[in-house]
Amino acid sequence: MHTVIASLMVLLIGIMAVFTATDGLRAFTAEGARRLRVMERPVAIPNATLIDIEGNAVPLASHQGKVVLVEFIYTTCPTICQEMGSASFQVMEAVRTRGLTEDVRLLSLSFDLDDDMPRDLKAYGERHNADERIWRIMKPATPRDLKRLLELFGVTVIPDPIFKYQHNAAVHVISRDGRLVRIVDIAAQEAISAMLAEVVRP
Amino acid sequence: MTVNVMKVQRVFAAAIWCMLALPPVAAFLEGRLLSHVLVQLPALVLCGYVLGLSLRTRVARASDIWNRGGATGIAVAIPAAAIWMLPRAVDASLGSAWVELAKFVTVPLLVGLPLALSVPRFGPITIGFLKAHFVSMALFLGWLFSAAPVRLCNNYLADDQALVGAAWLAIAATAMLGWTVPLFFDSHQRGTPSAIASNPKRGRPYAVLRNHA
Repeated sequence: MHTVIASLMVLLIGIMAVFTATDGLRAFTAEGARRLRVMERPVAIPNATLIDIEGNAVPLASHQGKVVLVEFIYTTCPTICQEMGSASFQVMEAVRTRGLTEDVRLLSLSFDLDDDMPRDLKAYGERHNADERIWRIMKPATPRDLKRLLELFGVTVIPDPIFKYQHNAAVHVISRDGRLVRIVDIAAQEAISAMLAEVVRP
Repeated sequence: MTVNVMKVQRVFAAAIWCMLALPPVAAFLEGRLLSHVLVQLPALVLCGYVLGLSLRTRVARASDIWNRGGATGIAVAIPAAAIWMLPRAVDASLGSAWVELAKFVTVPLLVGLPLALSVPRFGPITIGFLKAHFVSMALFLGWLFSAAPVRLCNNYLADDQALVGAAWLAIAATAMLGWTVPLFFDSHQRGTPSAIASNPKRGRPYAVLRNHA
């Protein structure tokens, strides 16, 4: 009898612990967890200084008032990121066709501060037909800016012997009032459409 | 068990634990997903297990009351092990010193130790269930890590993930073969016609179980 009571109590605690550790069985990976977290508790984005394709310093906050879609890139990335680039193009097109050019800014930020110079960012934009009114390619001005943004967004960049880097890629949606409110797969067209309808309109 | 053996077991457990906790060793093992989940975590389980061996006689009376058949021990160990199998727990232990500390404390104490205290109390059906559970879990993890289209751990490369998937499949296959093949040659399995002819009573499954217990 003692054992029955003890094992049931322990099991109950165990199940509660599993529930807590997975946000109620909703997030089993760090990626799932960060997406859930920003959806339930949006975080304010602190200002950071960015460098644009002309080499000018631009504060991230200069986009405030628009919905900003941030993705992280490095321009020397082979195959996978070229797909990412075309996915970003699709997002840009989705913004354009919905007539949201004035409301939405797509921002590709390079985390490869050492190798991506403004001219590389420019070439990347040209390669993917980025419409400058919507889609800007930039990079954080200093390693400190970069580290802060990566930490805040929950992006982990790790070195890769073949592709140079691997990172958890996604579109990070910053609302008009400067809070990170959604993290969506960039290639998920439907999710992007739903997000545009939901976040941009109100 | 003599006091000396118990002392050796405790020193051994403490020695492994300290070695695993050395920053260069921890960094090395956590550098790859394979060594993180299939070397470091099992070694931490081993620490707790050996510590548990040294405590078996001391807590024997309490265990008779509170851990009959090893039920309470397994109720502690399975959820604790399940949590540390979560990709997000593995990631979190790299990002936060507190989670890392929690891993080094809870994996030995909540997985290894209760297992050591419970294993001698398991009946044959419990053992069979746990073996089946282990094989199905290993197969699931093997399938998950080799087939997942996305990276499950943000801190590890996709290749690493596939390697861990293959390793889990290999572990599942080894365990399955290792546990089932001997059954066909085991003299305790009285399923052969000659065995039944010589001792018909032992041909019945319940008799087999009783003999094992």
